[in-house]
Amino acid sequence: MRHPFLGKSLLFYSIAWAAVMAAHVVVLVFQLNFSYSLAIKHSLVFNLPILGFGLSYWYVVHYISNDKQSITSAIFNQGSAILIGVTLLTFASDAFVNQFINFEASHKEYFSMAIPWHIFLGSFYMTIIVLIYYLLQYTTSLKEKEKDELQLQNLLKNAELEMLKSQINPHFIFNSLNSVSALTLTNPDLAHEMVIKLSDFLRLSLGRSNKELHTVEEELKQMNLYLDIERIRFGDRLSLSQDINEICMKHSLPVMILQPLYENAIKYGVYGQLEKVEISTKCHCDDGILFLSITNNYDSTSAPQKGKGIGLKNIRNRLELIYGPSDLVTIEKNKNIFTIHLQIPQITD
Amino acid sequence: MIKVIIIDDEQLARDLIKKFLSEASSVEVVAECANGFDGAKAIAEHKPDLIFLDVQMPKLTGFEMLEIIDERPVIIFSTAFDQYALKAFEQSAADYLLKPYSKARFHEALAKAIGQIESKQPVAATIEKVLESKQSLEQLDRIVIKNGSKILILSVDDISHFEAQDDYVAIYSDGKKYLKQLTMKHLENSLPEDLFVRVHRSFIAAISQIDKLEPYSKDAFIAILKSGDKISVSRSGYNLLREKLNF
Repeated sequence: MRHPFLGKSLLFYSIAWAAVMAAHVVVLVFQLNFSYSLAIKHSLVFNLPILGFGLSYWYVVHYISNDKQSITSAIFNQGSAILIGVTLLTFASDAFVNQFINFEASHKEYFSMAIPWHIFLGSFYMTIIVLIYYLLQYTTSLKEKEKDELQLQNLLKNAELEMLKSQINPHFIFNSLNSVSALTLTNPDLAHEMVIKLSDFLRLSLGRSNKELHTVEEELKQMNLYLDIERIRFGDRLSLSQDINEICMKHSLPVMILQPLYENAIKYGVYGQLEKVEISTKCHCDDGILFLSITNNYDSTSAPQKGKGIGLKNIRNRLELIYGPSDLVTIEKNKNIFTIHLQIPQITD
Repeated sequence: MIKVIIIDDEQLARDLIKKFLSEASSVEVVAECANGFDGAKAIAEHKPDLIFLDVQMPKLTGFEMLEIIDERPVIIFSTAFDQYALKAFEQSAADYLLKPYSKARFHEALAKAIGQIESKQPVAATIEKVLESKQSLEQLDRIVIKNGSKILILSVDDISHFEAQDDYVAIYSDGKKYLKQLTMKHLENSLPEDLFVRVHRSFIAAISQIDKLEPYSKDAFIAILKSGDKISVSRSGYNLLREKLNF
């Protein structure tokens, strides 16, 4: 950290000292009946060295406070340094006055008599200066710490978001490839279609160019690719419906936020029961908030399979990291209908 | 003719196996099943020599289905991506197909299986080994029971305690009692540690179900469960409970 009173702030420092010196003059003139010229001389001879001492003392504060010393020893060290410094200066200015300034003898005597008073006053000024230095140093290091912390948090947040985003289940990829391999022998046209859909989906999911948000329209396009692929895999065991309010199409939401929800719906729907699964998606928007809900039927008596709730937890974390509130995901569970509601605040900038 | 059953929940995956099998001689597909329930039924009915078994299926996984069938046909497992399953296959040297697989790989597995069937090699040991290593790899969160002709899936959350009974273990869930061929040792190792404690040579109890502990003799206690059942607790079981519950 550079000297706080060099540069523009030197002006403030000087003005503050000018005020102190003026006060000194006023006291001498009105309390002790000095003449103005004499009072000014007195004031300058006493105050100027302290002004310089205060200015240079920054370096002491700066280097000493870099060590980790306790508060009591810092107070003791600084206190004695100030006292010694001011005492030496006072005696030096007294000697200076005796040698070089042709005061009347009574005034020289007065200056000598004022030594204790000068030491007290000088130490008082220095204490204030040192306290200001410490305060400045403290706030600056606090600000730097805050800045560092913020940077660290951002870094963590980005890493976490990246991790939460890249959750395409390898199971899905390999099962799809297996379906393709079957279709190449039985239905080459459908195999072709599925390869195209799979690559489109993977391209969108893998090459997301670090975008965090995109529009409902883009999200649905991507999700429909995913769902089409799953529909080819599961055939008529999977039925889909969508009810999307057109006004919401340009609203934004985190990239691939719906994918784990569909994956969950398929997992509990298709793997948790023998009946046909119906997944419906509803979307409307209102007052700067996008409401999305995904519903699937499920068998509530079925014992849970592995990996319950990981996808859901990721979505909660992701929305909390991006938007703040922790209650943007809610679950509604009936006897055999499972619904997940998302609220996505619309960020306007 | 070698009788084959294909058990896979995806139509396309079954089609592929059928297609490949049609190129082989002396095999006959006697049934095709889309889930473990139908699979278990078809196996009991047809007594096949060979089954193609997918691991991840609705309701009952391939492994769980194996636990409830009495027959021991040769099995070719298949999975797309399941690290635990792969490890289990490798540890037990069972043959498996990793989806998607090539025609050459398929026929290799088939030839090996046919060899086993024709030379009448015992295969039961392999199946037990697969199940055992699978169970040791993963924490148990549900137990499949065959109750007469009905198949039940118990969630471990509903189970109050287990009691050893000769070769079987009695499982007490929701006030009902079920028997399953299992060992206490295996249960002790694969049940979630934070939920269950082996309180006695013959008993494993769900910690949350223990209502009271009463001294019985110098070195034994009786645990009274929320269901009202009383089970014995040994000195070492008591110490384990103290450790887990911090009392």
